[in-house]
Amino acid sequence: MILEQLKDCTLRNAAFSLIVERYSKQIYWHIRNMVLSHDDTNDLVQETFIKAWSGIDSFRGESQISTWLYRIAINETLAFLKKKQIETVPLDNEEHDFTDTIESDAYFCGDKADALFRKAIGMLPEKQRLVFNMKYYEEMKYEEISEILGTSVGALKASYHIAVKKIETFIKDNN
Amino acid sequence: MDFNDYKKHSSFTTPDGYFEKLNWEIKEATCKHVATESRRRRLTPKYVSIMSYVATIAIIAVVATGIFLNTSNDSDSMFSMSDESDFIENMLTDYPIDEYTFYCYLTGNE
Repeated sequence: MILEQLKDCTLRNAAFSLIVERYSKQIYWHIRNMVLSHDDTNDLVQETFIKAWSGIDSFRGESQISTWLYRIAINETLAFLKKKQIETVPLDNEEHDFTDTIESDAYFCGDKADALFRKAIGMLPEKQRLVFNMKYYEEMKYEEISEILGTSVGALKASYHIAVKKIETFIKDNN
Repeated sequence: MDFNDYKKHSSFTTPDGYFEKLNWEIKEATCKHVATESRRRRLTPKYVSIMSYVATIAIIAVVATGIFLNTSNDSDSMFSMSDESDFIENMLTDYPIDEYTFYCYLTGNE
């Protein structure tokens, strides 16, 4: 139904507004869990929807709208993180304390334990972090994650299991 | 703290009324994008056609100038070459000189 409206130029605006209202929150939290900063997330969410809007004609409806949006959001997020990583390589090669950054964020209301947990997640490789967040915070099924990331369910289960072990070890070592 | 306890409360917040504002901002951003795109599309055909005309004329002008210059240079050089050989031949016939002087003339050494 909504897909047909998207293909129709006269109904496209209204259909897209519905999509924005339905998915913006979901996409926001997905990106926020990856980039942590509210301001960066805000920019990335807008960028995701602008990309989606300009790519409507190439969306053939073979996957769900949410899957399509997630893929755009993930691409945008990973590109952003890569760029940020290049830009913020410390000159002194010293490891900067992640918890300091997160705790000074105006929109972080967690305690030390939360900050440590976030730090543990932040230590995971990007793809593993993505799988962990989608499973743990967004409570997505492996099948859904598999469709979005194009990875087998088995590989996702293994990735999540390894991520959990790494986080547990990190918290044990740093608590 | 249990592993699943972290999930029970969100450690991140957003500014008040953020999502209402976000939806509005996204709609506004896509509208701006549409306006820019349609203006670009409207301008592109005129721009492209003018540029293609200019490029074609420029190419023709460059090629024509090149051909003209090449031809005139060739005729000039041919004329001067035949002129110079005639002069040398005449000079050798009319004023016989020794080989060393002739060599100096050709090489430009005094």
